[in-house]
Amino acid sequence: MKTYKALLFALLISLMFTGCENMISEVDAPATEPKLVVYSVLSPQSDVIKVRLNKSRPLYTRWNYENNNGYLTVNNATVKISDGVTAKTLLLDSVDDHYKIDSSEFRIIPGNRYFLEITTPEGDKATAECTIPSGTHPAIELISIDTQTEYGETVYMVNFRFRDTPGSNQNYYVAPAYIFSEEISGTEYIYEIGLSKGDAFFTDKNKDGEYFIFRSSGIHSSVIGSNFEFMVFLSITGDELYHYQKSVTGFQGDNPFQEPVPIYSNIKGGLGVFSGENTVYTTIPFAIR
Amino acid sequence: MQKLLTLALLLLMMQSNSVYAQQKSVISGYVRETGSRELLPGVNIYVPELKTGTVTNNYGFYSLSLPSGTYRITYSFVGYQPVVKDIIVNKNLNIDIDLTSSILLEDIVISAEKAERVSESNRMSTISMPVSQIRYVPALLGEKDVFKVLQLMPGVQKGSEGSSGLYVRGGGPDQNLIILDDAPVYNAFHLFGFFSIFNGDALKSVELTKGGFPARYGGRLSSVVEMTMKDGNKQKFAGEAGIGLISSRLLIEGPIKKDTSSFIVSARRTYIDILTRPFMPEDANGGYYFYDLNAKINYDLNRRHKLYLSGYFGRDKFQFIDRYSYDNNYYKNKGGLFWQNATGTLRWNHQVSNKIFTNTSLIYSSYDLRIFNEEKDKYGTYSLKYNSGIRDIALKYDLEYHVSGKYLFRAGMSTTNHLFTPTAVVEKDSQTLYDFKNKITYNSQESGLYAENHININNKFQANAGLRFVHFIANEKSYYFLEPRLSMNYLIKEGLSAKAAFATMNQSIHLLSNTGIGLPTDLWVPSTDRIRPQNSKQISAGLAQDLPEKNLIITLEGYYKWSKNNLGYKPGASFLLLDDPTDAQSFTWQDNVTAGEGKSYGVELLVQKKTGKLSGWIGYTLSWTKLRFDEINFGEYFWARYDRRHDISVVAIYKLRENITLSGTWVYGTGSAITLPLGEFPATNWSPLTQYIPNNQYYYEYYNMVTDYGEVNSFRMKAYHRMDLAVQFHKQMKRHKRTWEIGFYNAYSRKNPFFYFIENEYDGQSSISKLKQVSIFPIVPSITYNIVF
Repeated sequence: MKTYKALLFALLISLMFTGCENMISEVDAPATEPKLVVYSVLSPQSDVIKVRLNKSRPLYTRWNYENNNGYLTVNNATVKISDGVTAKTLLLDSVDDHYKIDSSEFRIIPGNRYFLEITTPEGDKATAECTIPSGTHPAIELISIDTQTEYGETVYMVNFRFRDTPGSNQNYYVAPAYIFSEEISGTEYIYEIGLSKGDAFFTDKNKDGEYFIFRSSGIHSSVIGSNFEFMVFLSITGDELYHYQKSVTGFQGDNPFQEPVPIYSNIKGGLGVFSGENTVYTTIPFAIR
Repeated sequence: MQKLLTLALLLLMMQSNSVYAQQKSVISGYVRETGSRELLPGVNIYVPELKTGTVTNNYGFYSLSLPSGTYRITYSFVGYQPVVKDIIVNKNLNIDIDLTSSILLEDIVISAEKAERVSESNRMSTISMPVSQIRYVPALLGEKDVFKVLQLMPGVQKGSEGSSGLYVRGGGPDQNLIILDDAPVYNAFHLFGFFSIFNGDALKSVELTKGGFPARYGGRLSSVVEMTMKDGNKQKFAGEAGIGLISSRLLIEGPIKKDTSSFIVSARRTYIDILTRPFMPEDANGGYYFYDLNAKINYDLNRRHKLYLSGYFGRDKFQFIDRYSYDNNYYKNKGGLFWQNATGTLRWNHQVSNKIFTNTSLIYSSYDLRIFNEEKDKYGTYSLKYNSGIRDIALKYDLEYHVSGKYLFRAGMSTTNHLFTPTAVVEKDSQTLYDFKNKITYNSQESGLYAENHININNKFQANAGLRFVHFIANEKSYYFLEPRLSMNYLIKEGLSAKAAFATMNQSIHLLSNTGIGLPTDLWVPSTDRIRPQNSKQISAGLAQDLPEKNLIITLEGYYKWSKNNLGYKPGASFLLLDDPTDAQSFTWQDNVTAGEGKSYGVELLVQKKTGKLSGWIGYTLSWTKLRFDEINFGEYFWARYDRRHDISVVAIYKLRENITLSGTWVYGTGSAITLPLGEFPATNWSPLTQYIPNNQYYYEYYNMVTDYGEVNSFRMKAYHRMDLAVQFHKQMKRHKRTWEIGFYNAYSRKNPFFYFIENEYDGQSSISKLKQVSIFPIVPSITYNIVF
């Protein structure tokens, strides 16, 4: 009987102990340092080669609200681009904090491989390389234009498609857009309008040689007036840009019901992306009824 | 390679038929428990003079071909007094044996002189769990749980703290075929995984197979957990009852017609809802409970024909009702979440001859998840009902042909109709007359045909060579697979053997899980024309040693497993059912999944002592598990969340005195691999339009603030370790035996990680993020009272 009493007493003591216990505790976080964040997408169609540099903000070290909330722009780096033969240094444009070089000084050619090297006086070093896609752009085919009325105005949605070049192993980015000129000033504006059907960024993996079908988002007649052009930009991109952009758009913050989405990087010694793309655009005749 | 192996197996089967079909006398019969007349599976029958033997099948039947002569035959089973019989074999004999349970005997230290020799079995990677031992192993809140005990075995890992989910050799919880009396169980958990649905009182046997799968098993990649319910006492009414801190249970069994038919019913219900009701606010009530019910009746038509009807029904229900009045209007909001499993099996055993035994089963199994919400006020009623689930109807036929003492042939077929309902939504609003219904179902048929050959090639070498043919059809898309299976045993010397096995498995159904922790909201989906069945190949090899003088069994096994077509959600795809069930309307699961592959390898050591004053085991696993998905981690391999480099479990049960049993467990596991935020940075969104801006126009280049996570699952949580202790006091009363148990879960109150989160601390000028760990169970004492009558 004595044993029982002693055990019951121990049980009660444990219950009290359980009630007081704090079950949240701080644990050791991994040591982290600010990392170089590189963003540069090369295009044969671009007039200028641009590289943007930032530093990431490590989570487990203290940071002050001043200084751009801890996200430092890096403006003292040496940024070099090379095609394996010729190397050029990009210079900082302090207006938009990009390192730049004019494409007339360094040409971006489809099929060529390019190398980027970044060093800072603090000892950071990041390198990356990429190849400019050289595939053939499939032709965009207009299927139909749907209209519907919303609050008394007409909304247009353009259905179009293209057929993947068989055996090409390409990543595509499809961006419907329109350009219109303001009636009074004549200034041209360009807007990317997105898709209401179809994935904008995709790969032909497992869908080699297939047709891809899209529908643009709605174009409101009140916005465009009558003086505009409908365009479809079709880019073939490097794998690096495909993975990077997919991870950036798929990022949804801290969602407990979702596995974290890591952001792709091909930068050795840093974060971000260095990739190539090759874009053509098609203007689709658009008769407003 | 696989084709060659298949061909070799077929040749072996044809060879063995001709070599071993010799005429001898046959002794056959059933082995039962004394008193209850319960048929005992897995009983070892051994003839020392011939160094041959067999084991009873799942229905307690055995058959042994012997040349004429006089033999001493031993019948032994862990937890029972062995029986030794001298038998003159000169014709075919029916010999039924009764074994007496050792727990009913006074002052007996159980010794099984020839109990279950692993070194002489051609199976490997198989664990038979003595059900009687489970009741001694300490458990959270005293709730004995078969699955929690299985988690203490090498090669089997648990998920998060408290979870009953099984991760076998790197496979996910959906890759385990959990069978209760032949019926598959889809969501085997109560209370979001803290308890398994299996009430140990009603179980007769539990067997886990992790590799070297015999051809009779199919349909899952990683393991088979086969559980058989007790048949019920055929001689007298008996029962068991238990009262615990969160639930109570009752089991009653007895004869319907003495020695011919019997029944068993067991039920369990939690009373958290009843205990918390007085503390609920007046205008709101709700709660959570689960219950389960097992029932079985059996009828011996005669010696050759037996019928069994068994069923399980269990339900978890979480609900709330909220009422209030405001400004001459009343509001009532009620909602809930419940999930339920139901299984039913009708079985017919037919002993066709003293060499041939067949079983035919008609099987029903279903799993349902329902979420409902109803909001009512004076203007109208809005209601939403969501459900998802799976329903199986199956027919299964198995045949055993004991061709000779050296050759056992098994064959069978099964066909299952699966009806999947990934989503069914009904949404109504009486005010706006909105009425939406959407139901997606998939009807599929899964069939299997198998043959197994258990061959003793000589006194040292035995093998089980089998082949399984699988067909699956869904959405008019058919898949066919041939699955070769082979396991071999070579006796190096008395008590020591080397084993090797190969198995290929296919799984046509997939579980889509957002969290990987096995919530009831996870979706069961079929393979379709777009989603291929999962496939795995596993090789294993090892040593098995019996040390009968020390009552010890030692096994050491290594394995390598490849799997492909595993299914997971794409990054960013989120099925926020718990947050917003209406999302289910637009959710198309086939567009939101990505296929992958995995590899898992490791070494497992088990030192087990099943009998004696001190019994238990020590298990150690050293393993690696990697996964690769096309659209996760950019197509690169990453550590699985439950990749566990080291996993140790120690279980000890000590009979201090006849009326006092002490027990303890200690477990250690490497921390889970998780993806941890390391930093933040602005990520520029790319668009080709940046190259085409008309002159003087500024294209807004925008950024997403994103997190730098490093690589997927590259950070390790803190290691997990825990000790549980329990003491049981038994006393034989006038009409019953009672047991008090006092237990301590996590006896040294280790703060084990359940999940991690980031907390930001601000001081007006600066900020810092801190990594915080949430633990859920400190030391948890428990007290339970059980009676057996």
